[in-house]
Amino acid sequence: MDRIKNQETYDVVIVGSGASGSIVAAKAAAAGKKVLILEAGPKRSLDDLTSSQIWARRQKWNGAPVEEAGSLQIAHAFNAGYGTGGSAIHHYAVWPRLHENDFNVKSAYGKSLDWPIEYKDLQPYYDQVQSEVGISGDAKAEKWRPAGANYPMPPVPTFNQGNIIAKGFEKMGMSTSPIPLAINSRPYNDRQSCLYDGWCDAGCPIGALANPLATYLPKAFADGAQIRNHATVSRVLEDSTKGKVSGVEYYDADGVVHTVLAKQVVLAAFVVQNARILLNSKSEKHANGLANNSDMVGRYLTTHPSNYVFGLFEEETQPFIGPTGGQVMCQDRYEDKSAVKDAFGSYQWLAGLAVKPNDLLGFANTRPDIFGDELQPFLKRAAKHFGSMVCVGEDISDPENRITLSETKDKFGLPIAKAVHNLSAESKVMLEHAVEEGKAVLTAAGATEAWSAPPFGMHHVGGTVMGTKAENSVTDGFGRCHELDNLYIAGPGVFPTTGAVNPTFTIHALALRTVEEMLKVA
Amino acid sequence: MTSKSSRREFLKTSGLTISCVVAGKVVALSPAQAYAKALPHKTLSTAEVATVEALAEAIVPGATAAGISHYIDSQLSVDPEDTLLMVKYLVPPPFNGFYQASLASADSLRGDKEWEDIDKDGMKEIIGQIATDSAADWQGPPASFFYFIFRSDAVDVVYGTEEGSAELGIPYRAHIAPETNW
Ligand SMILES: Cc1cc2nc3c(=O)[nH]c(=O)nc-3n(C[C@H](O)[C@H](O)[C@H](O)COP(=O)(O)OP(=O)(O)OC[C@H]3O[C@@H](n4cnc5c(N)ncnc54)[C@H](O)[C@@H]3O)c2cc1C
Ligand code: SF4
Repeated sequence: MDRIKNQETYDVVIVGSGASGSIVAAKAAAAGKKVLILEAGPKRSLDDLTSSQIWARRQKWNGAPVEEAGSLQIAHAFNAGYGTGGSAIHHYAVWPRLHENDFNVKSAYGKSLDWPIEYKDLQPYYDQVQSEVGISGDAKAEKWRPAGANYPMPPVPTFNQGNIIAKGFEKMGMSTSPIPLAINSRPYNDRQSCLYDGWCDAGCPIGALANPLATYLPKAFADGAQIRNHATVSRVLEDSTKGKVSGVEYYDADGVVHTVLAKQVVLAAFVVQNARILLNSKSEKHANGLANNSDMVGRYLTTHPSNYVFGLFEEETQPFIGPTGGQVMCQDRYEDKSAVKDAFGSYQWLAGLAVKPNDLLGFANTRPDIFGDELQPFLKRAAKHFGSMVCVGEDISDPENRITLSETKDKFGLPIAKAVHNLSAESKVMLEHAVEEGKAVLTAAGATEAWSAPPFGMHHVGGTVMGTKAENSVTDGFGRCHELDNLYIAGPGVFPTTGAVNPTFTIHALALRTVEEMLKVA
Repeated sequence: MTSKSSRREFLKTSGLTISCVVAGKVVALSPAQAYAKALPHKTLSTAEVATVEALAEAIVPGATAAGISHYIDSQLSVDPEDTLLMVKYLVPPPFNGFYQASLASADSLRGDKEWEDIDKDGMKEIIGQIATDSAADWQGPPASFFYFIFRSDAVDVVYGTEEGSAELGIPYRAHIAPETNW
């Protein structure tokens, strides 16, 4: 095996160029740091984002496979991206904030975990990111929203589908608001506004949606940050000084091993690969991998237990119009996490999702039982009269749901990750309750038929959680590893609980807090 | 390199575009065009092609002419990392085994008959068995799982295109139009 030792030392090496890595890179480079991003996947630009649900599959994870087990698997190959911009280049930009009660679940309910920080610690970072990136929303209509600055842009308009389903919620005595979206409802920060064509899943090439190729990566590169693509980081290297790391090792596309030295290292390679890199960073001193003296790395792997419900309406819903993430939101079931008997967890509804005919989430796949001569009439009707909404549920953080190393090796000879995730009985009841509620909402909205899909895991969270000490967590409240004070972890892997909101706004806010701390101590 | 077969040796795939060298020029073809020109398949056998086309047509009418067999064949012929088939979300690579085992099981359901000799009701019966895991002696991945993925492939070629959207009466509104007709 060829080995090349790069003599250059960087101030900051960041592993992964997605949501979390891009903001860390931009802020560190703006502060004058010499920054290198190592990205396992290929180079991508906005011009690569072809409007096709088939071509969109190029953006999915293409690195070492992940072995999965459990009753609600995390669907790694669907939920993870690959290449410049990471999963975030085709995320849907649904950006609600966590609620105050997501930070102390253990203390309040005796389940899951507590965060070592509170909502108020994160609020200024949410506000800063919101102003830098731009979010469209209606803070007043979000009666559940925790404290925070008003949105800088008016909400994205609601169209037929959103308006029709909102009426169903109203009839059920429930409230809705426009979804807070990191999508421009008007031009903002030199980025143009949305055209409401529902291509977010394929990636928004016009920059209306806050993907890293349009937000923080251009800033990072303008301030001198460098990126190396096809650079798969295998290990973090320990320094001879106790409690520090010296850099990372990576494989290039030809399988040549490189070493890069850095004063600070940030793992921003998403939930599963961050844990895998730490577990693979074994040495004589650390037989279980780095930052893992308490066997915490990989534990508390979580996802959002989620469920779609669908309906067909007499009215034209025009489901091809709008953003993919949806139009209206309901968080009426957020505040009391134990409101439903035998269930646990908050949940939110996202309704009025723009949808295409094909692909996993296309409307054709919502009724796999229809085929042959019946198919086209169904598709023609659904193309104009379909409505959908998705329940995003809170998971219960469980140490037995975890990422470990498999016996199987990847093409570089490194153990691949194994991810086990089981759905708790209480989460199952929560989803069953939500599905019945969702079908009732659609029926109240006028659906002539309403049906649901099987539950699935939306988003990856946990695996390298933050906490108060090494015995209960991998990092401190800044994402700094308890055992290695110049090794940081960014991304949803550090969340001790999932809440019931999409994670990427919180990922940005936390990563901003992390890089601010890194710059202070450097 | 003038004979038909040697020209066909230059057949190659890049993404969804199937290209072949005709009179010294590389011509990019969509799966539908590849089907219309009866270009040879690279990975699927003749028997597998027949099974793919018979099943796909019965599940999503129009799939054969839309080039379902060339679509699956071209995507199984590239490095699994580059495949665009939806199976990549749900099954670890490589994907050939998934299709080949399932197609072999499906093929056995036609008994002594050729696919073209099975009438509409017969095909409906076979598809129903696959979709509900009730096919006897099915080997390989669960039949209903194969059905879900395979049906989705057929929907891709017929309705995942600009023409497919037009057929359903809805606008495609591409920001960046996909290559060829995808
Ligand atoms: C279809 C879809 C829709 C989504 N919609 C939303 C939404 O509406 N709202 C929301 O909040 N969230 C959404 N998400 C989730 C969101 O995209 C992720 O939570 C977020 O991108 C995670 O950020 P990250 O920085 O941790 O990882 P990523 O953005 O995935 O970036 C990680 C990067 O690290 C790279 N990498 C991995 N391993 C290595 C290695 N060993 N060496 C070097 N590089 C490596 C990867 O290639 C990748 O580019 C969606 C996700 C998907 C897939
Ligand atoms: S709907 Fe808006 S944000 Fe989504 S791809 Fe189209 S223009 Fe971009």
